[in-house]
Amino acid sequence: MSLKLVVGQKILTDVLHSLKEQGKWKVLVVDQLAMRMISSCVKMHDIMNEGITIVEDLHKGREPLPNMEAIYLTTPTERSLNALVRDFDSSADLQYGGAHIFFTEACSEELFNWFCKSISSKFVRTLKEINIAFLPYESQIFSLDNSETFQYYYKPTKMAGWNEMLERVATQIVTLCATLGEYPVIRYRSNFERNLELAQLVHKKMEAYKADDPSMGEGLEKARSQLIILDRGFDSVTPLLHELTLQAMAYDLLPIENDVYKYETVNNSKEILLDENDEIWAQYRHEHIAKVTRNIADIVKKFQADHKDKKSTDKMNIKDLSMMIKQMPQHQKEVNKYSTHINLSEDCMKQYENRRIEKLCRAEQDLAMGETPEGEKLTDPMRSVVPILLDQNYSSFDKLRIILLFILSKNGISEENLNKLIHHAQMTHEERNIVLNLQNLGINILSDGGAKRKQWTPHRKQHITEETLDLSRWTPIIKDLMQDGVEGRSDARCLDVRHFPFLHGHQEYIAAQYRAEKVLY
Amino acid sequence: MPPKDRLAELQKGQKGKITSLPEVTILIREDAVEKFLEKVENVSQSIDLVESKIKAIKEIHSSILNSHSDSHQEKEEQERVMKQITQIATNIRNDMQGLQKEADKPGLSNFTFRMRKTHHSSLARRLVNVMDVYNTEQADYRQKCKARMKRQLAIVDPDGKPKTDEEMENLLESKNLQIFSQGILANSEKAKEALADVEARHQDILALERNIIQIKELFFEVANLVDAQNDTIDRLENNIELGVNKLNDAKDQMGDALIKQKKARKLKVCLLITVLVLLAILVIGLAVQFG
Repeated sequence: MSLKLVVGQKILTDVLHSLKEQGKWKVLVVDQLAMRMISSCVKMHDIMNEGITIVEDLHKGREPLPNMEAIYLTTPTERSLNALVRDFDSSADLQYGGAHIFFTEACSEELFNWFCKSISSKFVRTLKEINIAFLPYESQIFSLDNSETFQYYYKPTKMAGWNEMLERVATQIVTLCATLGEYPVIRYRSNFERNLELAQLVHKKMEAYKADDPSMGEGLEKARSQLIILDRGFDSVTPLLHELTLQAMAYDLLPIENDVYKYETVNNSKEILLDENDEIWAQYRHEHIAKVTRNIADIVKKFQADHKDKKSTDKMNIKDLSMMIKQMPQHQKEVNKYSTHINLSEDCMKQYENRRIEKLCRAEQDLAMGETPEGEKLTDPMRSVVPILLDQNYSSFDKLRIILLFILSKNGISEENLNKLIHHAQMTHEERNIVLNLQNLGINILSDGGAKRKQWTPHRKQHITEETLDLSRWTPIIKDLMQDGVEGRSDARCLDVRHFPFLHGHQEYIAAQYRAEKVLY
Repeated sequence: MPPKDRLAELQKGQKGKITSLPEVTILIREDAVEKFLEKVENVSQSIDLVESKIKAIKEIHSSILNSHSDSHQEKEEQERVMKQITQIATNIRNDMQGLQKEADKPGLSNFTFRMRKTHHSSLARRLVNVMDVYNTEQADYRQKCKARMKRQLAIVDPDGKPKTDEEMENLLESKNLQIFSQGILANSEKAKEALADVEARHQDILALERNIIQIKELFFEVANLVDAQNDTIDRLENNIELGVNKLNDAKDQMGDALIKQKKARKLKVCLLITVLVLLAILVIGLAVQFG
């Protein structure tokens, strides 16, 4: 079942439905994380159906509704609890009639005790911990929705708050495991030191959850689960490439903000939410743009043909009319969907041509693969880079991407060469710093001076077939890693035990599977 | 993992610290919020009712299709329920228009605007879904009636060619009930029965279509209730931001006003100082002259 569905159902049943009373409306109060969480998997009309009359932000000015009870869904932080206490601390001026509190995760003892003693705790009718503190972003993707983490994890000078951040991340990951009922073995990429620390913390927290709910991770299927902790440095190539599959391309080239795609039609502008409820999006987002364009055109043609038949007779009789009316709502919806996706793919292609992405793709793919489409080794990669750097029409961001790909393909270049590239591309000092800062991900940027870090070059599977397009030869490393993980062979060559060790040894993993099998038979 | 209940723990923690519940007097306001919610509740219940009626229609349809004899009672029942659905749906539509007006009233607070707008859009979504089900059911029934007519016609006229879909549609279109018996000699008892059945089905379909024409406008309007904006209102993140722009505008105006007020105050102070200085000069001047 999709992760979104699991979390959505949990929120609807465990939180909202359990408190639904006929004829008694309630207010739902959320903080930032809870809002983003609910938003990603439950629709407003589902919430309203469970007797909620309005959803409000805990930290914004709210309308007092003393004759209604409120359901709070928040992270158990000091800030949120303070706001909650303030809602009930003056009996003459109550915000709501009562409080049903749901914490996203376990509340610390210290805060809990402090809250017990506050006068506001008398208004609490429900107090539960739901242990969901992540966004189910797609059916198989989660996000911790915590953009600051990146800085903490990679910026060597940002040390204050490091422990708190790591604790938080570990807790969030563990709530994901708890939600799925998983108790996985933990692996981490050993080339980046900080991964080990995170892995250990996740393990510690998971033990605590397992003590609360021993059924976590039981069953043959679950005994095979692995949690693999990666840092961005495991594959720096993929995010730099201009990818030509629909989702990646649209997010790269179009101003899509928070998954909302905006476009202009003849008489008005439209805002469309790109998510899995949109079947066309769900079906085609990982397809190459050429295929998307072709297939959508086919669907529309078929749709038109289907509907032409019905109108071919000139006289509109009762039957036509009634059929038309019956199809009206469905019809309208479909027409809108098609026009959205035609617009989306056209927009992508327009950008592709206007910004001459094709030429970029060609150079990028050569650099990433280290060979030409014909399979010849790239002897002078500089030759693919320089024409792009000299071209005034490419943005400095595109140039930055190609420079980085070049450096990655060389596993670091001399400072002199870097300066030359920067000079050719007419880049600013800040942009030069971006290049140098990438060293913090554990990548070699400069080959002279300073110790060169040992790089891990994964053993790649062969992905190129007859059908592979020249401009899409690269396959993200994560794919090989996951395939190896699923196959579970101990001699895996990409998800190699030497680079991705088990936190508690490989033997323990095998033993756990053995135990699970024994229970089964 | 089920949620962990910590209410008991909380209550244990409270013991001895707080002796009595603070006295609370809640002002029950007979306000616009309550009234609006009551209307929402009413519409919601009406939609429930339509839903149950559609279920009833489904049952009647399957019972008509399964019986061999032509039961008038069932037909009347069907007619009656369809009329009821039309009636309730019309009322809902009117109520929804009322709600929409209340949501679009100018000068509402962010809270009121957001609450009304969201309730309206959720109800609209539900209504559209329910009417979709009704649509599908009717189309389904028509299809099944047609298939049955085709089978029966084959019995009446065993030598005739099987009717194509288009021929069937043409037959269905004509209002003339006799069309089926023309040129066909119903010479056996079985064939006569079959013919009667065909005619009955034909009448069913005509009745169905009369009903559809009656509520066609309703279908159009209901479909239009869910407008393009709905997708974003239906997403919590955007919903919470709804009307914030309005509020920000107001804040900006407030800001302007504050600045103006400050400026005015500054001006006043300046004037006052000038007057004071002038006065001082005057006083000093006078003092010098007369002193």
